[in-house]
Amino acid sequence: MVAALQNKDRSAFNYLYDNYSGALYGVIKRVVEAEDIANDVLQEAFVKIWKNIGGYDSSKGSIFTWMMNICRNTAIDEVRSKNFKKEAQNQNIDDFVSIVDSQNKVEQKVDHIGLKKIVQDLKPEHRILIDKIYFEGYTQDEVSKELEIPLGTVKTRVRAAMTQLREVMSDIK
Amino acid sequence: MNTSEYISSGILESYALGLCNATEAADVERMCASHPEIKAELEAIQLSLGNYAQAHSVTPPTSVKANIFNQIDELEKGEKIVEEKHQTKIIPISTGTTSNNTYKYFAAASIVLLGLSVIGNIIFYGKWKQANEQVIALNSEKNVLADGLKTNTVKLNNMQQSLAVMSNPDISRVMMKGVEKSPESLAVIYWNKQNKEVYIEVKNLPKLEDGKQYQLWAIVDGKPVDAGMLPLNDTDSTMLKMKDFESAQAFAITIEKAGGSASPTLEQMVVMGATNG
Repeated sequence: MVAALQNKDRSAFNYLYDNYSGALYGVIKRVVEAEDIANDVLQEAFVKIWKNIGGYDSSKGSIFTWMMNICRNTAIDEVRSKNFKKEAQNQNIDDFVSIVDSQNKVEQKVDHIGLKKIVQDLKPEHRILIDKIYFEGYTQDEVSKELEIPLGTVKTRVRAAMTQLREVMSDIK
Repeated sequence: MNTSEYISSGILESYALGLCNATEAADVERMCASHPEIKAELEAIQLSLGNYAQAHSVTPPTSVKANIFNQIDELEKGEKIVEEKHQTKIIPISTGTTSNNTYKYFAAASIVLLGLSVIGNIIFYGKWKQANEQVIALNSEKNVLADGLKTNTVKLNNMQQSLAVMSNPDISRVMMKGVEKSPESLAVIYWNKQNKEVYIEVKNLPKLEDGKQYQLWAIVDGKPVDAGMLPLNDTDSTMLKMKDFESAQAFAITIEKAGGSASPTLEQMVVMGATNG
């Protein structure tokens, strides 16, 4: 699979997109709420994946982890870019409401029914930590400030969250 | 730290979440490379997170996929175009087209130069020919002028001589008038009695037929004496020196056979004049 991708096999890339674009788009939408910008980020990220597939080293982790890092970094770069700041400044309250709605939609759009149930089993205080750190690229220090939770507590909860995640995920197998 | 301790330290979770700094990440990667069970544990953690991400999947609009593949197509086309550009840049050099072009350029330039040279030669040949003709014309003109000058010099010398003779106070002049047959004719004798020199100048003598020549006679003591021949066909000459005479009563010119006669043919007399002493 990886070898086919590195030979720029179009059908392998198609398979990659069909299997992972949903998860990656979900991550991007965590960072970039506006749908048109999220679409642009997904497109940019997949083109980067296509261009840089030769640099992927399977010994350093799964291809999904590698792709997810590209998507998350592209989304974070987009948030930091001037264009996004302008648009964010121009957003009115209605837009923010729609963002909240779309975030709710994310929950609703979970297509793996089993996974969705398992995720629901996670404690909300654990989920928000994983979401902030894993999806949005926050550091534990940033999470501590954002959620007004002491750094020590953040670190303890992250470990607990990961342990619980491992447990619930192992149930699938 | 043994393997299980390393796994339970929580560093793998931090790594999977992207919370490790560069040193820690390098350490995790090194441990994974040397301990398969640590690597397996990390993969399990990553899989859990991957599943968590899958649980939050949002299907992107179908237009995004089309856009991605279009952009990839354009990228590959662009790469091909770049490759083709490289090839078109390389091919001319390897096949020597550039040097051929250089030869063509030089050939074209030399043809143009040859053409200019031919045109130049035609123009210069024309000018040279013109100049040559002018030189020839000037040469002949010069010859004409030189001839004229020579003639004039001769005439001038004669005139100076005539003037010298005429201005000599010792000279006496004898007019010889035309006879009835040739009333227009005239001859003048300039005679220096001191040194006995005799000069003659003739005007309007009748033209002679071939084999005839004018002869000057001096009448000395009643007898005609040859005084010299006039030049053939000279009917209008400048001053000519004739034979010396100490004394003479008259001078006359008769038409004689060419080369002269011993005695004059009187009926063929043209002019005659008596001296005053």
